[in-house]
Amino acid sequence: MDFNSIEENLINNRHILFKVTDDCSFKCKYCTHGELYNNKKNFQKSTLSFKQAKQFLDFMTTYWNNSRNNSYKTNITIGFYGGEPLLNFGLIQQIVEYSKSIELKFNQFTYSVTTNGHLLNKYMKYLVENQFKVLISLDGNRENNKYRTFVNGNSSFEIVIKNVFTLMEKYPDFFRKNVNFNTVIHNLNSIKNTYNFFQKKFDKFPYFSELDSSRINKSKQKVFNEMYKSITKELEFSDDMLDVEKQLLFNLPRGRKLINLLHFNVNSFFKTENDLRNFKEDISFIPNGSCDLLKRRIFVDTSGGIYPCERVGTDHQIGVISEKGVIINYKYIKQTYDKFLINLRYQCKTCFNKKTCPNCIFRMDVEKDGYKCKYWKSKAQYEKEIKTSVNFLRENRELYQKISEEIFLV
Amino acid sequence: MFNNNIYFLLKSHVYISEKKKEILLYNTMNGKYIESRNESVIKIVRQLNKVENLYCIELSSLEIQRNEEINKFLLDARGKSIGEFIKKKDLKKRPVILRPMLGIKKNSNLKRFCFNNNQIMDYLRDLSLSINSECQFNCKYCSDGFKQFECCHNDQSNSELPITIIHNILSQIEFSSIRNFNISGGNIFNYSEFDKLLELISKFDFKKEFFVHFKNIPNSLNLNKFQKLNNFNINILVDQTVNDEEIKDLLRKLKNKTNYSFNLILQCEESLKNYSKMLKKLNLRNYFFKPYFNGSNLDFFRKFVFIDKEQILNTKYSLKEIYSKNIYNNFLFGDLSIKNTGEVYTNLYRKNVGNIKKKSIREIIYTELNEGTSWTLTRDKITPCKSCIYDSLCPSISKIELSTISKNRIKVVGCNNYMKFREN
Repeated sequence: MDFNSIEENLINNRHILFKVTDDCSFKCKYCTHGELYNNKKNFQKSTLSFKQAKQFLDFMTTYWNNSRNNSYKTNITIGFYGGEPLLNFGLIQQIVEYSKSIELKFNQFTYSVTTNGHLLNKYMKYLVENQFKVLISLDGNRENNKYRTFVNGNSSFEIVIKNVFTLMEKYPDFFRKNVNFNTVIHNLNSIKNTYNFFQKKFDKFPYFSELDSSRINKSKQKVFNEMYKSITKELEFSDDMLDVEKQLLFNLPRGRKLINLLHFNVNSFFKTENDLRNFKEDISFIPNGSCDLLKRRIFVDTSGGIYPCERVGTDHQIGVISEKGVIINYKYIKQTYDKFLINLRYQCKTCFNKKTCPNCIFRMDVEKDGYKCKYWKSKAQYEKEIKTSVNFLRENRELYQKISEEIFLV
Repeated sequence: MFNNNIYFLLKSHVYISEKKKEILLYNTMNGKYIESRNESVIKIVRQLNKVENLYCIELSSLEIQRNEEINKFLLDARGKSIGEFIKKKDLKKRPVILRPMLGIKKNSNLKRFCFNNNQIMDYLRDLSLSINSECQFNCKYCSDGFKQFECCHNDQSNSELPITIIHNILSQIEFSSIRNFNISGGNIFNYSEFDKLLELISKFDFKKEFFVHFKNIPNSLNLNKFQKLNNFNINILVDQTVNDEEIKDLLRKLKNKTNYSFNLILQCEESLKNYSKMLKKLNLRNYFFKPYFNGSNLDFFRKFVFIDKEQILNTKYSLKEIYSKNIYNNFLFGDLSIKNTGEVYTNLYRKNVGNIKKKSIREIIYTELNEGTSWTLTRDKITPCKSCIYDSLCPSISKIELSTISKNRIKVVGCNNYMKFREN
């Protein structure tokens, strides 16, 4: 990861994510800022300033307009995150309006927001007018949603569901194309009942995620264990989940593994037209699951700290928006990459999971696990996984066509 | 042999070409193939080709025993490592073969493949610039030779592409994946800013190819001008009017002083013989033949240029090569031609796609990839190829074929295969 590669990635970046506030109107039990997790002591809530956001956009514009940006008419997404980002709607609006004054030579801006849905009623008009992509966090019906409460402990379900229905009825086209849901699976819900809920109410399929199992507060481990539910295990032990699995394919582990098998390990499956143009059979690459740093996404937190993405926590700040301007810490980036790759080198060399490695080096808990890669696979383990995928395909042959026609790499 | 029901499967490296009344199974590992017009065999292959069957179907022993053609087909498939059969009772379940598949996104109308707009400039391959049109000669192939291969052309406009425009073009392609930068005229040595042009392109690493007619190479050619250039070649266009002395003269000027090659414009069998004699006599090695279709030499092309079925099937193709021919025209894809008037072409047999003075190269490439039909002109889009089982094995439609179509208004394609096969 040298200076030129980092510059190249900045030029080809297509997604920046602003954390506009740490504040939140909810106090979800499983929130990573909550009591279940080890958090920074003396954590002070803050909000991003418009000045910082503008500085950053101006900084990125010089890269986006660089003639080494090889794209044309593609989207650059400005995303908004929190806490609950709509609590700082004023800043969102300022940033969006400012972005409209920026002259991009080769691209155009689009916008996205991840929200708990509480303030949708207030701001949905603006979101619709600016064609935001909206991701709403909702765990299913009232019972399923019990961990998602307001700060005062009251249920949030009624207000959120009312807002969602209003959005759906007032702006049906927008709702259909631009709105999605994120559901955390735990002991109060199940994949099947949330799938049915979203299908019936909204004709949508949610994205599923599990509770974050890193950095658990030891004193809360028991509570966590009671709440935690593994998506893979739930699917394994249910007889009637097959239709759900086939419908949600990429959202669920077995489907994802099958897609990875076809996309990355089968020479006769051509997934992008690039595959056909490149006639080099062996392309060398550094095996690791980390995305292209600064290219796939850049995350800016409320204090102006710059991170690879919103999931890596606060350990890997790679830059800052300061009074003097935006500073990217090239030295830190190179040192971090070098350190991880040197320590992982032998494991990567002997791993059979190279091509579909999910291991992000920035998410490794080195203090807890050292440099041991939990995704490493031996030949036997890898073959077992292939066998599972092939068996899944054998029972559901129609998935081959579905994958080739509906699942595309970004 | 076939006393039990079997599973018959194709190997994952086998390509199926299925048309109305014939099929082709092609083994991309060893180049062996089976073609058939037998109805029963076609029916089996059609079943195999259904995606949900994943290249494996069950066949009953009765069906096989009653039909000699199926029997023969199965054994032939096994013999050529195209397929395999296993007794059904020996397996718990029907096997799965991860068959070849194009999992490439199509647009919402499902009529065209989607290209990656995040790497637009990476699609640029060859850029051909016609910097002027002035030339004192009047060669017979001047009017359209340039459409069939890189060649000079006098459009009678007497105009030049301004050096400022060329400078702008170069700045646009600086970070692209361009492979060859082709420069032709008129007579390029008469370009008013030729020295400046050389200076501009000397800063770039891509291959620079100059195209000049042998008659236009000046006696006082100063090759020092080219010294600053790296990675370049001077292509000397030669036609049947040349004599040995003229070639010797050229060699005196160029040999050991610069990079050069001869492009021998070829129209008939007699020219071929004359060139061969000359090449042998002068011991020339750096040359290329450039067949030129003049509208009345189709027989020459049929004999010497067009390919036969045997030639197609004697070449081994990988799955990648076959599938790429489903998407790209390998001769046209990525190539832009810019005339001295500024007009830009993705296919010189069609209208221009804009003027470089008004549109950027990026915009032109984007439009061609998302709406155009030249770079993706594949054989499955034209008759008679779209009904031919070799449509994906054959090389892409070439510029020469486009010239035969445009001149004669007949749908003749660059193979003798179709006509011969039909006769059989």
